[in-house]
Amino acid sequence: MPVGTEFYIKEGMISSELKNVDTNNDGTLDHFYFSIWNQKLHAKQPLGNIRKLSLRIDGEEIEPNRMYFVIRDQWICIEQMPTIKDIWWMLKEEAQIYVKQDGGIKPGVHNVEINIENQVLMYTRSIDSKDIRPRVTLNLQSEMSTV
Amino acid sequence: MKATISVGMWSLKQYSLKGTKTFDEILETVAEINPDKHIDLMEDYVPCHSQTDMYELLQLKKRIESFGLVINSNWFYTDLIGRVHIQGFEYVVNDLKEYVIVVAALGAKFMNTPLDSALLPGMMYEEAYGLYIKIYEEIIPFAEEHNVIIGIDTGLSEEWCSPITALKLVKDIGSDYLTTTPDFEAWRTPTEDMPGVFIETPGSEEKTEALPLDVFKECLPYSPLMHAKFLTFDENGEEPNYPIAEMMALIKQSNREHTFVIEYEGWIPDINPHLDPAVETKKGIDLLKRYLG
Amino acid sequence: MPLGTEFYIKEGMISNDLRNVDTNKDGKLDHFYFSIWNQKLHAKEPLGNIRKITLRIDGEEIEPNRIYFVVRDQWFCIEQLPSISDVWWMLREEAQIYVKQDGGIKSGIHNVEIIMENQAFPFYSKGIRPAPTLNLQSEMRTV
Repeated sequence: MPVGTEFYIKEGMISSELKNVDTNNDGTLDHFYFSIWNQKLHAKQPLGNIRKLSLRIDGEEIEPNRMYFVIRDQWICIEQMPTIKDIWWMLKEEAQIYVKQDGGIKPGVHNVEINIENQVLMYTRSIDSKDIRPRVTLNLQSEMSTV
Repeated sequence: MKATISVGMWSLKQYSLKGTKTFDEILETVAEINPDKHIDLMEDYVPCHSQTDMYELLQLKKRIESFGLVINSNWFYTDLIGRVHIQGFEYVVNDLKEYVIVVAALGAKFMNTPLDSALLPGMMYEEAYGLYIKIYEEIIPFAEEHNVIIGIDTGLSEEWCSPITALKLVKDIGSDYLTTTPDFEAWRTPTEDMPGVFIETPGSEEKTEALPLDVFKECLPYSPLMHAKFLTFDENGEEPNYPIAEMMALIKQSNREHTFVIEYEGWIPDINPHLDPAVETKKGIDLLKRYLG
Repeated sequence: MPLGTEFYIKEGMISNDLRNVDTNKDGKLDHFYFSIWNQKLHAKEPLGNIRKITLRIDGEEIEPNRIYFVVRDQWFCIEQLPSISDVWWMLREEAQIYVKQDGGIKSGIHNVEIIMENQAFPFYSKGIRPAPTLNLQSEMRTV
């Protein structure tokens, strides 16, 4: 039960690069992504404890149905992520946030803002599907360069 | 009074979160700074989610022992009230039994399960207390079968989540396999620099008082394990946030053997994240050695 | 290693009902679903062994981005299902196939055809092993 208000070590939690990819190998870029590491103080948790995840790129909100949380090569649709109890995100493990976008994202530097509402229910082998416990909000921003 | 010191992985967790030391390097650090060579694990370092990986678990044990370390205990948080409410009683019991097996497989003596599971809205103390009694009545015979002692750990001082409740549970169950693990935090008087707010209870009423030392004294006969929570050290190596001298005086009068798990917490973002956790943890070890001899 | 060609006990593998639901509790039906049970001879497997699911309702193919495989209340988008290695479907365990559709499906009897290409081997084999096809059809009534 750590004292204080900070639930994460935020520094270094998201990458500084946006990568364009052609996921279906048809010669056309179709997604871009950045990396995120689990730096929550009590880290390990089922994905479903991430109750909400929203993303803004250059101030514009990305529609949830274009976003995926990818962990150990498993693609989870952001809208359905709060239901996932069997897939856990481990301490300091890298995951990726993918965005589906034809052509990828244009070259340059982009402002990326991610907001995560995370349940405080920790380590327990349930997700807080009834939202009985409080949530903490994490806001991270980064200027990311395309590679 | 025999005392053993164990280093909790929580003390050095910043290394993992920042990626500045590997797990092996952390084990090496514990072996270097703790002459008693005991270590306390926690879930983030144990392969038990979403399911337990037995092979990895036994490999973990070998790896830790290869540094000359003894696994003293494992801390397993489960929101008992939350999980019963969300999924059901039998799920909680099965989880705890599985954790007992994990602790036994690691060759550890103790399993810590925190009491910190807040009452749900409208839930009365008696209902929560009755639930915990029911849970422990299921778990304790199993723990005894596997020779694992359960310690109820809490550092809060609210009516429900406090060593007072833990002590009551232990006395009511009346088994040597259910004990209290008092966390020094319960005896910290909040200050302006170090307020009584906790990250896992956002929006809750701020703690303003410490528990009386009488409660600490009453816990001692039931506390083979203690969480020596340390936040900061002054220039003399003393910890100014707790009534350390008084607590140590009571411990020295205790008739039983105690193991102190050091939980140095000053590394968290809210306190002194710039200080080296190993250096500060060593100060905790030195403090205990100084007082306990 | 059973002899023969049948990989499943098909009888009773899918339900006879199509159920309309309001999943977000806003007073409007938004999905319909039917149940499916794991009756593969070597049953237990990671979801990712289901390499492809095709669904036809009354002869019309449903777009994959409207279909979800739901097991133990966990929702997986059909298109991403082949990537899932951590979540397993157990012997005779019930799952549901949900289809997102405003207003649900209209009342009556519907012909439901589901085609699954499923890895032959009971471990997560990322498409390197053969994937026999299962074709199930049922006349389902809305409830």
